[in-house]
Amino acid sequence: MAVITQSSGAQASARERISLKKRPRPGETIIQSLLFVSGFISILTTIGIVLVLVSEALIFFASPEVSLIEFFTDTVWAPEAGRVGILPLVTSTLITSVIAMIIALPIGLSAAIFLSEYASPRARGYLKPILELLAGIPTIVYGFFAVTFMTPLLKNIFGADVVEFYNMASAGLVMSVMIVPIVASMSEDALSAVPRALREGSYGLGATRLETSLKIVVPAAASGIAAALIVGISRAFGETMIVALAAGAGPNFTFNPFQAAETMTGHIARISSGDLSFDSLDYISIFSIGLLLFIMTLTLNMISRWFVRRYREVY
Amino acid sequence: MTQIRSLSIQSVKAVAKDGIAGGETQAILETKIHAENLCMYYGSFRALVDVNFRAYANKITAIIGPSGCGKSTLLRTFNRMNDTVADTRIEGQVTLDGEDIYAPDVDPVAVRRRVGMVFQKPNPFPKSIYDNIAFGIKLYNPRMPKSELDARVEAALRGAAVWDDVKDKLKQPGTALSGGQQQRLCIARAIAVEPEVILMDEPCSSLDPISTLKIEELMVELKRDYTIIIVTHNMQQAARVSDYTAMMMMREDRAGEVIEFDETETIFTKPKDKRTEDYVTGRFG
Amino acid sequence: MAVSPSPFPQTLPAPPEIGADPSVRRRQRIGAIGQAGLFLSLVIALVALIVLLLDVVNKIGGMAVYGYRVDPLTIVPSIPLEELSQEELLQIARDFIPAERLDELPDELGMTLEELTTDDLIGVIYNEVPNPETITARPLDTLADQELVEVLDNNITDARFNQLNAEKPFESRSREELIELIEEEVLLESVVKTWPLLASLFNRQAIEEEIQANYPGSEYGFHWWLTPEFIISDLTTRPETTGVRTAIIGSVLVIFFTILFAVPVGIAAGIYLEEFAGKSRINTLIQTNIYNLSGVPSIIYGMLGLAIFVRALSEFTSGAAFGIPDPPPNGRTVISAALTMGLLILPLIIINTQEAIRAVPQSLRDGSLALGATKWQTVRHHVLPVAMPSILTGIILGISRAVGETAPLIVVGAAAFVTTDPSGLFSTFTVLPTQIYTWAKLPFDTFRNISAAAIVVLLVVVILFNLTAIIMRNRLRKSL
Repeated sequence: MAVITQSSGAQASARERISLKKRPRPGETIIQSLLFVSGFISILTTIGIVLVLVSEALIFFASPEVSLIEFFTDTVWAPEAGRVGILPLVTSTLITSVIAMIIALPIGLSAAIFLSEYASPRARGYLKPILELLAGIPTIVYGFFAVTFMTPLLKNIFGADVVEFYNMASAGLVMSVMIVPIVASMSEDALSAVPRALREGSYGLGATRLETSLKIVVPAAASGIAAALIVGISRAFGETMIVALAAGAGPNFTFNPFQAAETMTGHIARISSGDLSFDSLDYISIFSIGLLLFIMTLTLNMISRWFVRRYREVY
Repeated sequence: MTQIRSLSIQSVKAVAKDGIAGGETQAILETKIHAENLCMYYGSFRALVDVNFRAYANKITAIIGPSGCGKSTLLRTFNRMNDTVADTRIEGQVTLDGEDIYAPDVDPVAVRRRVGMVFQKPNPFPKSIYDNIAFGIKLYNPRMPKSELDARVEAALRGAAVWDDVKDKLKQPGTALSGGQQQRLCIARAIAVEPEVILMDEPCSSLDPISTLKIEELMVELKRDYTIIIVTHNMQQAARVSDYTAMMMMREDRAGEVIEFDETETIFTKPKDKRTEDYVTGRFG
Repeated sequence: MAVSPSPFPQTLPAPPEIGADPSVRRRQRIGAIGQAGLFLSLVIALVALIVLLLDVVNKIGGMAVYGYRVDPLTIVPSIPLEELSQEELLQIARDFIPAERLDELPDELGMTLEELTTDDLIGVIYNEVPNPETITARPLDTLADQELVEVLDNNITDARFNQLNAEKPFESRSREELIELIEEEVLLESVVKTWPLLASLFNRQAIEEEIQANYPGSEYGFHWWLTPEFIISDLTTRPETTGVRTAIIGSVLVIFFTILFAVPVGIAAGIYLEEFAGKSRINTLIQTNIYNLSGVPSIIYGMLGLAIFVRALSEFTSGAAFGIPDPPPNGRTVISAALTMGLLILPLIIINTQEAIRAVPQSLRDGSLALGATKWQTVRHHVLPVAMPSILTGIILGISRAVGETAPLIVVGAAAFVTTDPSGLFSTFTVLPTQIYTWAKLPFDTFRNISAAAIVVLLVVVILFNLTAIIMRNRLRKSL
């Protein structure tokens, strides 16, 4: 196999050889940099959020009226009066969210099980878009629904003197209507990711459809469902318009769901929508609430993503 | 057609002898692509080990071997297509006309400009037949006049023996053609940019026998102008069309290696390696 | 199958009949009940949607009782009692003083009404009759044109008077127009009581009876709150005359600039992460970060916007730095809102773009790269065109979210009552959802009516966007 390498073959002489050397491609470089900068904007957003919340919160905690211990233990929130206990805002956030999740989780999960395990592909083709439409309705509309429908309804059922005009129950119930599609859609994704073989194995043992769904499929999709639950809670914590309209117009430390109590988000919205002065303690104080809210939702979202990754890894 | 069908090992021998029989003809053999001690890694996994391989200008070189032995991986090192997969690196050297294509100052885009590729599954762009061909030409000559572009498109389609099938429907999407036509369209697309080498990764594996024969016929024609390297799992095909053949095997550690490289005739009639003999006679793989 | 005679026929148990096992039947029954329960949940979710929509629609029109905020008789000129004759005064006293008082009066005064002097009679009338000047008031329709204009002039501000005159000189207005103007501007014709749409349609009779019983003599009728005028009118303080034009223009402007900012940046970031980003630490960080950002409550974005765009960058966002004449005092402007909203929908668009790009088959990229196309040429000519419909779906969903998003804009933007249409990046503005919020907060039925009307406008837009996106996506899924 004696072969001589020649630089000028018949083919090479016919055509001019293109250099392999790198040449500058300024256009390509500029575009790549622009694309990177676009991606980096998201980092800047996060840095911005953290910086704004932390720096303003630090100013707040540094002011002489405020102590960190009081912040987490006092039950009155009235910054201008020197009382800065975040508890009333946190409890009402928790109460409205818990009411919402107690209803949204079973209904959302059941709807998801029905869609994934019972509904025909045709029916699913119609029902899922309707659920998605429900999820796309702006929350201000839910807020309107809460004050004009749910609150009068509760007053009719429990008595007008028991149920206040603003109350946490109405906000929580309507919030559950808003969260059902989110829980349903995420759970459905998790349920339909469960391999068919598991279901067939269960049917092969003589289990009914319901037994298969509840005892085999749901446990197998547990981490996805957990993710849906947590995202639901996180949404409930962060939801603003429903609580701003229906839950209350002032902080109130109470555990009675029929009483008015402003949530963290509702308070931020009310304070910042007025003509507030930028150097008042009221203005500074909302950033400490925002920081706490950010930490709460971020933690929940990270846990949720961890759950989602887990079920994606399993299958 | 009949001529193709009669192409057997015997006729391949004849072709091969034409090319390299006498001493004078041997002198014009020019090494187009040369891999020396090539190792290739996906992350920490070594996919190729110590590969030595040559492709001569205006010859068809086949790469054969059992599936999973790294044939496609080797082929894709010749135009740096493996770069598009994250976390790959090579050791050793691959040269094109004596130039190291993995040298730091080499532009992979320029490599691919000179080393074209046809894939296992026909992958026409979801555009018109005309635009499928024109895309590559316009990359290098963005301001080519329409009349010249038309001529180049026609020439490429003729070169890939698909002109008669598509000349009346150049505005129709390339994806609407039959599998065999799609693959010839992809070959036309590759030759439209006038590369020096065409890599073919099992170009007929998804085609019916008649389309396969047409492509094989086309390859033999194309070798007048191009250097062709073809990966195939079809030994008949390798025997029918190629001048040289590299036999690859997978080692214990799943790394692929070239165990024998020779004229096709030699590989198929008197292989030196026992494993090659087992493979080409169908006792293995 | 032929049964072969068994040596032990007595010991063979009878083959169980399928479905006869009571435990199986019980389990099947539980299964059926369970299925019904699951289905019920879905129905509840859908019923909630229907009730929600009905609740809104129920308030956009219905039976209404009209009244004037201002008594017409208090604004028209009246004839002074002093100018009346004794006869006429006596007539007034007899007509307007309640009968029992008429009986008591002679005892209190020590003489009959007829015996009083005109001045004393006038005194009695002033004492006994509420709003005595309205007795002799001349109804609007008896007044001359010039007098109508005077009524108007006396009861509205000079500025408003001049403005109305400038719109159309009073001399050239007809009598009817002038009276209408007085009803609108001075009497504040308003709706005093409303009924829901459904009740008004199906139970009109009962409502009319109720109106006649409780509001005798009042004008009433079917009143639509959602009208073309509502959509094109200025914002005013009265639900009967207000409109959402300013808010709609505000929404359109904010969304327009949001798209201008978020769509290119979102698509570019998506392309970067899918096509160009290696596995370096910064890229992993960007990816994780985008997922986290997509879960941050929208009001937090509002606070970011408030602190950065409205306050820190107010020099720029108010337009002062660009020499805008008469810039607003702070950065509560269209551009601040659009940037905030853009940051909010950015993660949504990025994640969706990534998914769309990931769905493009690798073979297409290989084909293009093998021709010697650069990465960007490959993306630009082959990946993007194929992924575009799916990217668009995500953009539509993002826009729809931005259209309905309220909380961040309450924090960032429209705090004040805005009556002038925003005209550009540095205008103060209001948007439709903020307007809905402001009205829904007020505990008056009529404000809830206009809130519902505005919601319908908003929902039509949002549902149209969402439907388009859902249909587009389902089509795409089928074609892939």
